[in-house]
Amino acid sequence: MNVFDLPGPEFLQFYFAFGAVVGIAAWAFLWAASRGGGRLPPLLTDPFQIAWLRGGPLEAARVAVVSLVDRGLLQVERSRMTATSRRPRGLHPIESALLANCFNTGGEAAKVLSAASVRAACRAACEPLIRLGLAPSDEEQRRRVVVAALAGLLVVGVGIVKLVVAIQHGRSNVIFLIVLMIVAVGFFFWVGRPRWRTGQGKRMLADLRRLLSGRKSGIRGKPTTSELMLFAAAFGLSGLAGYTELQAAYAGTRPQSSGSSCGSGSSSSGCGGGGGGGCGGCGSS
Amino acid sequence: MGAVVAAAAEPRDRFGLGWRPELAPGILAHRDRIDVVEIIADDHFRASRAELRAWRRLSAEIPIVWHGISLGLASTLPVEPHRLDAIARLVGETGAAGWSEHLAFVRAGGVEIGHLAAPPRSTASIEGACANIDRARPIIGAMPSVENIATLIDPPGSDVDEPQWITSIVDTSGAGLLLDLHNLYANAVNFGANPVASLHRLPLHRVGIVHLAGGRWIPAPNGGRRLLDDHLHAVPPEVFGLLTELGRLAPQKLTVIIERDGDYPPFADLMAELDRARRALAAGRAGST
Repeated sequence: MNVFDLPGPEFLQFYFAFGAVVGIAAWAFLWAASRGGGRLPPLLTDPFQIAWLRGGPLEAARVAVVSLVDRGLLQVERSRMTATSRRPRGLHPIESALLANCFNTGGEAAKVLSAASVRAACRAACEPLIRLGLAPSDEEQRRRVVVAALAGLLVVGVGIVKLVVAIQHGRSNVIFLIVLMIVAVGFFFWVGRPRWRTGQGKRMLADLRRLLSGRKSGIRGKPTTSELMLFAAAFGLSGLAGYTELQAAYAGTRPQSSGSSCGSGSSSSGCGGGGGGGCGGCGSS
Repeated sequence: MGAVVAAAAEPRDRFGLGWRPELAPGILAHRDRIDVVEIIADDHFRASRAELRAWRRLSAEIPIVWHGISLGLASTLPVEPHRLDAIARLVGETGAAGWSEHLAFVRAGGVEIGHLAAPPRSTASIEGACANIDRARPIIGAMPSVENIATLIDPPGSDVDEPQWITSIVDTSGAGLLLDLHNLYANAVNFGANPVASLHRLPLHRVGIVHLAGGRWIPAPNGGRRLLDDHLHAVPPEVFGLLTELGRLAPQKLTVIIERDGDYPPFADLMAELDRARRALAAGRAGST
């Protein structure tokens, strides 16, 4: 039986099932490849690397903004950054690159964060993530694109053949087929888009969020810069709840356009609740 | 002198904090200065597999000890099997360094007391505690460290004093001793004993873990005042003094944990307190040679 000779409704059912099978197979293949083994990589505590897992170089750079603003080395007013004249020793390379580009680009946040030197510093700082299996290598990214493209071409190709056959037979009611093809293209674009983290990286980020969640307002005084960077790295904007200046600075570095070519993962998520009580002797009164 | 003091403490003893959600970021950000964390087991009895994985990942970086608060070991009532199973799961699934519980009872007659209570220090409670420790060990797979608790009431019906009671339980059961120095100090000052003398009467060779904490003075019912071990204040100098004395008398490796349950100071203050504990214990070690 030639599937291309199936009547319209029957072919649409076949095409949907065929596309689903190919799509699930492609997704499953890539998911298994990125999942990693049962071993547990060491716990990350570098806030730049944690932020990279959440959202790539942009998020790593935004954590650097939090650090610099908290230490009085940078000011962010809406979407403009102004570096102070102080340049202390011991800055992280990402922080140094950020401050340098504030002068080079006139301080527009989007330009500063996307500067080549800033992205290069972020990539260098987060290179260990690839060795740990937490972030995909360039080869793994290419494989993802190739697998998704081949699967997509297969599905779309079958649709195109049916379109040609239908048109040759004088059929014009092909809108549903075209819609399914568009959906297929969208799906395989989503499957094939580059990721900032592997399955192992996703679990690492989830574990960090679990360990850091449940923060209440019980700490006297302000957390240290290191702690604030961890919050921002793991949770994004919501991790800075209660610290208005830092939230405003973080929000001021939001990209102008939604989505990026490598965007994956949200830039913010809520802090989960967490239990925690002490065993204070006879209890407090 | 500083280098000698540091060398006497670091290779053998460990210093850490009680894990609290509010302290989590500070602990992770300063893990190079923290050797161990102690986690309240009861808060995680229903931990999902994903949560257990997170603890397992943490324990691979910083040794963790699960600290129970609701078993009610020091009771003539058998400990509830489901609680032992829960602790066993936590210890087994997270690669923990060990577990501990209190020498207290927490329920009786179907009533949950809601806090740690000191039982009568009698033969019955000694036998009950030892029986419960014997029940717990094969299920959890490790012997616990058992902790002395603070009490505002000298338990009626007691035949022996606290040091004798603790020594009997530890010697008979073979359990390790988690010595809470603030609890020891509070009980001593509240009931007219000498804290150092009380310390000397304990089986110090069995101490593996040490707790440090703070409290506050509250009015006593008949006038005067009592020291409440509330874990909401800094460790007092007297407790650091007891730690120094312990370091002099107990040559074995010690794990010292500072407990803070609320009103948290800036994390730098907790790190400073931990450093003070290092110096206090090292001073005792230096004095023992």
